[in-house]
Amino acid sequence: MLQLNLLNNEWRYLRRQPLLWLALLLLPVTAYIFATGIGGIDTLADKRLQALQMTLLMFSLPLLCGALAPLVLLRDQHYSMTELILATPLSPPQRLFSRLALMFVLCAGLMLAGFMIIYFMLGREFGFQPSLLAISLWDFALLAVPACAFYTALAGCLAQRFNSSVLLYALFGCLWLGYLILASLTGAPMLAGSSIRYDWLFNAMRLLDPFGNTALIALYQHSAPQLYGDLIFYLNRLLFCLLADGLFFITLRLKPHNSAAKPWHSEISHDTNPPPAYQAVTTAPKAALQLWQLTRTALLTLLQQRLNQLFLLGWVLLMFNEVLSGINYAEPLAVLSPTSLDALNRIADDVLPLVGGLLVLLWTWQLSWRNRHTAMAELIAATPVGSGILMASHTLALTALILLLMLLGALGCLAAEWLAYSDVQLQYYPEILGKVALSLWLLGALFSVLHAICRSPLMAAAWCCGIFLMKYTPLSGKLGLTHTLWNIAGSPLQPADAFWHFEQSQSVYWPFMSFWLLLTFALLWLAAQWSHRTGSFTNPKRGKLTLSSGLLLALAVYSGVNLHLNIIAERPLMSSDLREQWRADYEQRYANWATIAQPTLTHIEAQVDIYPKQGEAAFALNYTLQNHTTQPITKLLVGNYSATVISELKLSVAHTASVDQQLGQHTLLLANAMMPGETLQLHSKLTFKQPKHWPAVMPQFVKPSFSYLRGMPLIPSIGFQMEYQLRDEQQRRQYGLAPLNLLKPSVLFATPQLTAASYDWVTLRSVVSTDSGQTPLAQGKAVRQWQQQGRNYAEYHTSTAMRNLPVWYSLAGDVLSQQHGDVRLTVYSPQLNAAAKLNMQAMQDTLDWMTQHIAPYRGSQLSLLATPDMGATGYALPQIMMINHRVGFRAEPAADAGFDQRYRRAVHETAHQWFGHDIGNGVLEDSAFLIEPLAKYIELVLLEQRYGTKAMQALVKYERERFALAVRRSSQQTPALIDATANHDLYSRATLVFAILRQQLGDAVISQALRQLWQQNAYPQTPATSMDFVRALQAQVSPHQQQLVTDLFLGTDLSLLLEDSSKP
Amino acid sequence: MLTIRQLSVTYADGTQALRDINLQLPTGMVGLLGPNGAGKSTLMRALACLQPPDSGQIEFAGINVLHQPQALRQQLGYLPQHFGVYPHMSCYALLLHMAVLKGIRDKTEQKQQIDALLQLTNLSAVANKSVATFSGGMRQRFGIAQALLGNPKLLILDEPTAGLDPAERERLHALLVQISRDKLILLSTHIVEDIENLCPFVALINQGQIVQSGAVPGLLAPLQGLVWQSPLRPDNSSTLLSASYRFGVPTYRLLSQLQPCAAAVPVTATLQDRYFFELSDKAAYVAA
Repeated sequence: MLQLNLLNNEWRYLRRQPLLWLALLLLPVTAYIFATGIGGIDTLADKRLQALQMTLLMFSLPLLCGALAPLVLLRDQHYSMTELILATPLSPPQRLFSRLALMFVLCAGLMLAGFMIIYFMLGREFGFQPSLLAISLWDFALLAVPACAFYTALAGCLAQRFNSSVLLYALFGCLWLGYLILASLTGAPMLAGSSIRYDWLFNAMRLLDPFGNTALIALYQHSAPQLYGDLIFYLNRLLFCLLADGLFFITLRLKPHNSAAKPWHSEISHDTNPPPAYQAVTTAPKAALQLWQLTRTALLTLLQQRLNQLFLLGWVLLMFNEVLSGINYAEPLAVLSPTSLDALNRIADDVLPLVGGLLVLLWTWQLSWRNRHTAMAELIAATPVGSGILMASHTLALTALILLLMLLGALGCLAAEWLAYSDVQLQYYPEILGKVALSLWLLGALFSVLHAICRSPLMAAAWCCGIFLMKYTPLSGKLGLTHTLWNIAGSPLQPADAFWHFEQSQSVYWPFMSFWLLLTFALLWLAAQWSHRTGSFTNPKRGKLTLSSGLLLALAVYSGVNLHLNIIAERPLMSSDLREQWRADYEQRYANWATIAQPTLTHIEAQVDIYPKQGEAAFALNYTLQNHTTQPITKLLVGNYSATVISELKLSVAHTASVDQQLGQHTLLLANAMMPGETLQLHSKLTFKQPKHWPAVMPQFVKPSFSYLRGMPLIPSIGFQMEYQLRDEQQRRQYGLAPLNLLKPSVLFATPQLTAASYDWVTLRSVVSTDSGQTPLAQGKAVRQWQQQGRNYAEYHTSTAMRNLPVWYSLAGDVLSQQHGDVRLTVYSPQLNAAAKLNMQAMQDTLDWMTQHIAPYRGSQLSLLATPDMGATGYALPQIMMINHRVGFRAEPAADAGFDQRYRRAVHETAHQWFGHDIGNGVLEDSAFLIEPLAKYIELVLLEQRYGTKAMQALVKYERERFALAVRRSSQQTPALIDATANHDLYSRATLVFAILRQQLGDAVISQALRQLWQQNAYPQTPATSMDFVRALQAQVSPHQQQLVTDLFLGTDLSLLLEDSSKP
Repeated sequence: MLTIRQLSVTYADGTQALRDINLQLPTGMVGLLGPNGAGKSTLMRALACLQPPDSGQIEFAGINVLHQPQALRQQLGYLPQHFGVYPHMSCYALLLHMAVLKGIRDKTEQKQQIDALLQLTNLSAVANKSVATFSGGMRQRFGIAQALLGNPKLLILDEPTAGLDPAERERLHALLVQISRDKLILLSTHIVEDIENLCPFVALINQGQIVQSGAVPGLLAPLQGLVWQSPLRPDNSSTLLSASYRFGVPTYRLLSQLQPCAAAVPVTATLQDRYFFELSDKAAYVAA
């Protein structure tokens, strides 16, 4: 009864605290945001539900406990009530128990609310199944309750021991961050980019994870995941229940830590002498001196705090560790000879801004509210110091702290470089760290503005945390706020790489930062006038705009609007929503063209003038169109899907034209119908301009050292383009489009049938020009090269038709070229090193093996280009392949690598000349299996051929590990490999499947099936489907082996694949 | 020297802390006397430009305080009722910090004045100790020292003797008297004795309004000859000004035209009598 009364008493206090209501609001909102955007017909609802609930728990519980702990456990100290409370007859254990109990109930209650919101959101999508409710309640009982008990007891222990709210905030912040780091090292599916870095850590975390997540995730690698845990999971939960009990009893035994030093008392003196005379001195306040004094004191006060000293030390160690742990990482099983650029790239885009941002958040809070917290505010505010000087001192102190952070970060980074034998290039330090520092400073200044204007510290903190979350978390994306300006105080600057440094996005930096600088200065100016003078004092000027502030703000707004207009002018479809809308509109307006006869594009004559320095490329295109249908054609649909406008479009025959400006589609009405078999010419012109407010992105960019212009979807296409349709059924419903009801290839092509599909192949003649010193490149054989008016020209012809994917380049760097049989092989790279030769070797090996076992290469030229680091590691177009410079030309195999990733990748991309650009195209519904999985098969064959069986097995082992991790992360039902579109199926699972098939059937059988595919389905015959390959393979093998083929290609049982046959 | 006209302050919760205050204060020491919650600290904060009024005007030595707060701050020494200090800063360092903020630019002058003030407030021995570790009385002396930095023409001292031992209190009194010749020292307290000892001019404030102000003799004059002291409380129409104890024996001070009872003896009226008179049901007395 007493305890109930005490709990009620505690609740009476707590329900009046704004922080509690903030938590009651934020946690359900977080749960809602986590649960939005889920769905899909193949989603495993129960696994998804559990993963989301685990995510909510790990992301929010430490922060919730950290926020509530001082409020519940240290309030007596905060509000100088300790002596009053201690003097009551209630025993300390009773008091502590009631407070901890209430905190536990609050945490558990909020978690239950969050879990129920997630259940509700999933229930709306998948139905309110009792099994989902059961999982939610089980998750609450087994995951949330022990975790809440543990964190509450830990909070009690820490509060009792240290008696400092700042320390509690910091420790729980560290626990939160620490857990996220551990989770990312143990392959938590909720964290993008996480993987199991150390098996021992993963196994240890199965037992030591306070949330029990790792033990459950370990059971996710089966196609039917075990959601209710295993023995290790239950041991883990028992362990944390016991730990919570233990911590609770320790808390009861701990004597509260008393940090207050004994107050000084001056010795009592009875000095009867009259005091010395008071001497006044003249005062003449000088802003500079006041600013210096305030800044200096603020800085010293912050740096003298033990907590900040710990943070700075931790910062150095964090940077050191982060750099050293991955300075030479290129990709799994591959390492770099590192440079300062690699070292700085380890930290400059994530750890440095994120942790730096957290510190800036803390420091602006400390600086801005220091006077109020120390009760000095009235003394300071009564001095003749202008509010602007007070603000400026905070900003200057913050600047000094950020510079100190950068300096310490640089020291940590340099130390790691020194230990890793890195090529130290000091010039990158000021450039890269300076950019991070400026962004942090702008962010900090904005926080300072909010702290100076908001009289309530809680309100100011809420605003600052909101900005922080919008900037550093996916919250803005989840809320549909995708505009680049939501990256507050930042720019879309991309990391520098060794290929072209900052060239990808250098142009975006100052337009964005100028705007943020202007806005920040305007707001600082305003805040100086509206400031509460660090003590929440009422300012009569607040809310009134002076002329100077108004002008500055107007200037900032003008700059922002101007920036926004430039952004959308350069890329009107800047967000996924807008792109989806375009596709939906396109389908709604032009889907009827799918049944209207259209001519076929058979030949392209292209004049492409590339101006790398100006960032422009001018296209003049002549298409030869032929009526391959049996009907007369009376009108044509011509258009593109790009911000680049087709500036000129005309036919060789009489016609009238109308333009849909919004969608960039032209309708051409022929004066005389185009009869079957007839041809006509279509002439078009367009000029691609490189956006200056966006980073260069695939598939078109023109930059001084590398230009890449893929034709699709830039140049005009003929007829309705099925690939522009939205294929996600949810999105189609959202935009009011009829369902596509797409059947999977295994069903659609289950029986041999004649399809309406046909190859879209063309011949191409290109004349490409570029600046002197660069190489113009296109598909086909170089028939002529010349110089004219200080520019380099080259003419290329394709000897035979190729897949309609034209591309043009302007390249700088070295060239390695060899004639290999009938094919000229060329490698373009900034430097010709051993890797370039290895890539050349891989191309030769693939060419030889494919020619010998499957089919000859169709072209006379095959090029491989080193490309900047822009995401994809490799990409193949007909006759030209691109491989990321970092992984393909700079990297080397790691000491423990069983195979060479460079060779593997070059083989893979070369294999796409057959799988993807020979067969594997022409059937829109079946565009996956015949491309990536078969290229993976070639990897296995050629790795074994060149490096032996062990290398091949090493690749299989690597892919098995990747696949197991991906299965754990996936919440989709396992499809048949034939139907799969997920990367882990197309790459890793395919490798495992073909490894088994090679072992069980042998390469001869698989090659024979592939040869049969070529004989029956190669261009210009009817395109092949994946089921054609399955049938061809089954035709080669015994009934027993047929079952194996069926199981591997059409089955969904993964146990055979995840079994390591090399282990006893 | 300081003129306040029709000053009113209302807090965000609707509490009207000051109502139509009108005051004209001369140079020298002025006592602001009133019970808890009367509005003394609000008035002090308004004068120090920390609490903007709803309406009214404040003028100090020709400065329109509400329009030129910085000009006032250059002549202000302020000791609030409650204040804290930065951690990890010695008494000397914190005084130096305040000195710079107040505009003492010359380093020699800074040192000389800080040393002198440390001596005046008897803090020289602990000049290098952290103020955060000071006892209440020492911290209060630090507050006085910082208020005296520079050459303040207006000193606003809110409960300056709180926490001081008798010796320090006397020392402070001596100091204030010494420096009040060319300054306005506004002393807020509810310890009537302090004001009686120091202030020739007093303003009485109650419920946000100035109920009386003027020179002390003028305030006491109406009560002279009417105040009686008695060990017994008479049961008649006299007004009880205060009931106190001395060595456990009750002592009543009464206001009456005639001797209220046989035990009552006439006494000289004090400021405390006037203070209690203003707080008592004055209207009833006047009517009687």
